[in-house]
Amino acid sequence: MNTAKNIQVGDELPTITRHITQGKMTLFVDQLRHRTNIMSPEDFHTQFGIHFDEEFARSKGLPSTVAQAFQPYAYVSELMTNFFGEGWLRGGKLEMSFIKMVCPGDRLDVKGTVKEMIPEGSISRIVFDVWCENQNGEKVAVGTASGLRKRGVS
Amino acid sequence: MEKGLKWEEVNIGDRCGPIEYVITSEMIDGFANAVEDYNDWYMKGSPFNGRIAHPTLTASDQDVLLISKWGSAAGLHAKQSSEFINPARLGKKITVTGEIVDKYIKREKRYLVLEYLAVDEDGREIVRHRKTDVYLFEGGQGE
Repeated sequence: MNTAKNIQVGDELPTITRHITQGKMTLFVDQLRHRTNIMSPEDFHTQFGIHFDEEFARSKGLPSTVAQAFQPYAYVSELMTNFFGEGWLRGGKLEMSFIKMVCPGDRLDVKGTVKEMIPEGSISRIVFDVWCENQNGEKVAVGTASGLRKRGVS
Repeated sequence: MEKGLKWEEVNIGDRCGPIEYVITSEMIDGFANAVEDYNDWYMKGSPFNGRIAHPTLTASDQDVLLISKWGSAAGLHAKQSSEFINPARLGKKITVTGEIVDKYIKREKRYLVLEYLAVDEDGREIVRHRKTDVYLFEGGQGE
């Protein structure tokens, strides 16, 4: 179904599933450290501790550590890269709202359905409704994503 | 010193950055491991003359921009948008600059909106991001 020629409004992309673990959440925070050398380890902990230190997160009134919103954001980007390839990396647009916390132990299903197809010369901009929902069927992040695809190219 | 971004001290039009870093294989690998996305274009090579970074890698530069200017990030991550213009290639230096483009109160919550742009060493625009945070103020953040 992955050509601009044969897809239709309402078509669904293959779902991506991610199991959220503390290990992955910590890795996600850790990849930030290379860009935060302006911060002491103590300040880094103050800023980002809710993502990797459960006791600290509870002291902030949270039920547990929480994942950074950029994690589900990255999963949606993966969904789009899988579909569009270069048309996502050069011309992709993503807009999301984060409506529910994501915690260790959650399972996220990352989904997209075709919302609209807009001709742009020899290519099409294909717009998707995208969202991530947890194991209870609750949406944790919702939005739209679009990318460019040559018409009829598989 | 009291740490933290103070609502009254942040104004529309305030600029932050630049921050600079080079895209390394460790960065690409670290991000891939964190999000479990091992696309060949990140891990092996791409049509863009070598390995590239995950397109959302630069998104969290927002925190770094705010911290570099005001000493802390803003708070709860409410919304994010991005326009992906070109891939960020392995070995390229990335420069990121930002600007506060909106600041408002809605339903008794305070919001800050930062737009930020990543450009590579060749002047190629990589990504334009826009992040909306619900402003919290205890010196730390919670997304």
